Amino acid sequence: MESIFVFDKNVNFAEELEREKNFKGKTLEHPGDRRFYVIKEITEKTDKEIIKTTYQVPQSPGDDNFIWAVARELEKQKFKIFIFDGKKREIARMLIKAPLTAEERLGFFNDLVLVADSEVQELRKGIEEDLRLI
Amino acid sequence: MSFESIKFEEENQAESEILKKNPESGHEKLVRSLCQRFKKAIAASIMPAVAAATFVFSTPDKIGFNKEDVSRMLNNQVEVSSYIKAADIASKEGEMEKEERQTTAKAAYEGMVIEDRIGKNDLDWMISLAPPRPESSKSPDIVLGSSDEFKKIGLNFETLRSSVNELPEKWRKNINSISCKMKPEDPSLKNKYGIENSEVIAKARHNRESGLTDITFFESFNKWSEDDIKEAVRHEAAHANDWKSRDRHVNQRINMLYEIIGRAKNSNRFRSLYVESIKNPDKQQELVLKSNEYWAEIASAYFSGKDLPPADKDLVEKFE
Repeated sequence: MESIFVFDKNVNFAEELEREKNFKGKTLEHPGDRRFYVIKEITEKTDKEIIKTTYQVPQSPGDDNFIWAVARELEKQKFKIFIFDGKKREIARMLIKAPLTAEERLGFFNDLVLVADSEVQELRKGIEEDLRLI
Repeated sequence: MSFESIKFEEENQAESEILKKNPESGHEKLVRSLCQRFKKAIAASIMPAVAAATFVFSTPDKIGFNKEDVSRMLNNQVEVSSYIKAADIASKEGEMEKEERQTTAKAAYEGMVIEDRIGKNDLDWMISLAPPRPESSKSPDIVLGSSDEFKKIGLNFETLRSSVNELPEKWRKNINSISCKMKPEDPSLKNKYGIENSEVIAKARHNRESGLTDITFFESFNKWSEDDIKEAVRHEAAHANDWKSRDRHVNQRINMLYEIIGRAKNSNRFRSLYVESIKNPDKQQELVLKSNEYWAEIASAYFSGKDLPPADKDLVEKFE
C-alpha cells in the first residue's frame, strides 16, 4: 500500500495521505471532481505514420489510479510530494517522527528516493538503531 | 573494493578526525549518522552493474563478407530487427575496422537484448526504419498556428512560443508544426479503449519517412495552465527526438532504447507520476509503454529543472 507524503511550500512536512484511507486529508479539498485525472496516451501505427493521442482520464476515490491523480493535483498546487510503499514508507514514517529540522527531513526524503530496493532493509535497521539511541 | 567504497571510507576517516576535536550534540550525532547511512545506501544503489557482454573485437578467423558486402548489409532500407541480424553477422564475419566492429557488435548485442525483452514487433514499432534519413534541409523554425486560434482553446500563445524556443535547436528540426483545434474529429478511439469519460487534449503525428512530427492541441476542460503548456511541449518534443529520430545513427538509437528500458524498470528510477500510473496485465506490453514514456518524462523533467537521479540526468545529456 502506498502513501503520499506532502511537504508545503515552506518545506514543512504537512501530512501523509494513505491509500487505505483513499488519500483523504487536509491539503486537498473536494476529491472526486474533474480536476483529478491521469494522462493516458494511445498510439496507433499505419504504414506511413505513428499517431499518438493524449487523453485526460478522470479518477475518483477508489479507482486504482486515483493516487496518481491526487499526486498530480498536489504538484500543480506546488506541494512537494513523495510516494512510498512497503519498507520505504516505514522509513519515511520514522523520518517524520525523528527530531530533525524541516530542511534535514526533506533532504532525507530526497535521498530515500535514490535508494534501491535491495538496500532498503539494511537502511531501515540502521535508522531504527539510531533513533533508539536518542 | 570499488572506487565508491574507497571514497566512502576516506570521507568517514576525515569526519572521525574532525569529531575528535569537536564533540557533537545528540541531534548532530543523529543527523551525521543518518547522512552516513543514506550515503552508503545510495552509493550501493548506483554502483555500475558488471558488464554482461563480451564482444569480438579482433579480426575473425575467416572473413565471409568484404567491405562492400558489409556496407550493403548495414545500409539497407529495413526495419531495425533486420538490421540487428545483419549487424550480428557483419561484426562476426565481415571485413571492418576494429572500432566499427566494436560498435556494430555492441549494437547487435543490445538490439538482441531489447528484442528478447519486448519482442520483434514492438522493437520494430519503437525504433522503426534503420538507415539515417537523407540530410534534412528543414530549419529549426516550427510552423505555429495563429495566436487567435490558440486563444480560442484557452492556451496562452506566448507561453507556447517561449516553450518552443527553449528547446534545443536540433530538437526543433524534428517538429514540423504545432496547431490547435476546438474538438477532435474522431471520438471512436475512446470507445475502443474503454475511456469514454476521458477528454482528448493533444495529438502527435510522426511521419516515418520524413521523421517529422505535427502536434495538435485541443481545448481542455481543466484549462491549459502555464505549467501544462510547458510540460506538454517538452514531452511531445522529446518523443519527436527519441529512438525513432533518424537523425541519429541506428546504433545510437538502439543504445538509447536499451538504456531507457534499463532505467524504466530500475528501482531507483525517476518517479514520474505519468509513467508510474501505466499499468497493463501483459507485463511485456507494460514495459513497452513505460519505456516509451520514460524518456519523454525524464527529458521534460530535465528541461523543467526538476531533480533527476544522476543516471537519468546523464542519459538526457548524452542523447540531448
